[in-house]
Amino acid sequence: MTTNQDLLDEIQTTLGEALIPSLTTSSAADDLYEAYIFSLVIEAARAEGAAHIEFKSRNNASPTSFVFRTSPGYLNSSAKDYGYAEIEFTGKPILEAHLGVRIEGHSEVLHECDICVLLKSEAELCRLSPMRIAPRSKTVIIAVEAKYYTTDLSLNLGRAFLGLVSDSSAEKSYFVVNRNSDSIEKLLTHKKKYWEHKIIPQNRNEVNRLRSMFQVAFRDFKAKHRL
Amino acid sequence: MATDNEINQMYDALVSALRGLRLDWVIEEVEAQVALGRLSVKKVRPAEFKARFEDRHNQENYVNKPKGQSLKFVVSEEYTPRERLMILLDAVESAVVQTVEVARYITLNDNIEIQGLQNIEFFSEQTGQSFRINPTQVLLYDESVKKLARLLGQLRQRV
Repeated sequence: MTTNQDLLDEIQTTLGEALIPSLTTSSAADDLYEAYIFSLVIEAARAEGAAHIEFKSRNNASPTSFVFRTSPGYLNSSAKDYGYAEIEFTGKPILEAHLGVRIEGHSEVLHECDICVLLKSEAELCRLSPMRIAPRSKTVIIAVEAKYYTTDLSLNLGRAFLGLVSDSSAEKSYFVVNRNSDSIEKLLTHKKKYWEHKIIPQNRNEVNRLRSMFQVAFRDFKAKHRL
Repeated sequence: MATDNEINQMYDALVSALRGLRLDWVIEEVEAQVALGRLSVKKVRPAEFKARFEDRHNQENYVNKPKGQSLKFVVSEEYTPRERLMILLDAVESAVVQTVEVARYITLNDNIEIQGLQNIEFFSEQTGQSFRINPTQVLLYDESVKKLARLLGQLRQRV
């Protein structure tokens, strides 16, 4: 039978073998996580009956590579051929899903939005503008703050989310994390904000629940734009 | 069952391994949680402090009365060595195993629209740095990640 020391030694060896070199930083884990939540938003749109979903980029109508922002940016940025998803529900205004863009709050302060779904009309205005302008939060139907931590989250993250929501006119804002945080969950529930925890691929119950929440946001968007 | 001393040694050994792999950010998150302590709401009876309060209100309400008032406070208790090691093991699982699972979901899940793309690149305008992931890369690490998850589970059971 292996001793505890043998087991520990084996863990240390395997740890090095299991690390994907590009994914060893906290920021890489965060960025990957935001892309994962982005994919859940797209799945929700599909589940809600989106007639057409297409991945586009600023320069190329159908990219074979998809570039995600990892630091908040402006839609007209030409630093990279950033990708986004175009989502169309029949007879409704077209939407776009983006990662890492700045949006404008009530107070005209710009906020970072990890994942957002907004009207294409607004996104296009910002994309084609020669000036760096941020979409207005009233045109955002889904705004997600996604947090990836290796331990239970500290309360300041919940407070920061409340600050964002209080200054935003986005239809629905969500706080999504990969773990628990009793204090944040208590705070956001008390304040009647949308949140979901333990969102990682193997937690199917929680992931389905979150996907359903996004689906409801798309459902409400369709209902609001009923002719 | 390992002793507290053995558990502390395991903790230190793992922390050292993480530093060697430049996973200092994981250690920082763990240490932040350990410093915060295990939080719970408890009734506190200041009369039990056996202290002489300078504040007259405290002295009157909590010492002078036969049954001193109790108050609700959020109390932080230190984690035991075993709990501290569990926090670290969970953190390693999140940082390594679950990160690869997330990468796997994005690049290999058949239901995902984005899976049709050959490469996914993450780019920072602030630093000018980027990294890429693709299905081949993720599959290369699959076995090691599964082995690590198994070993972490075994260590949890041992302590």
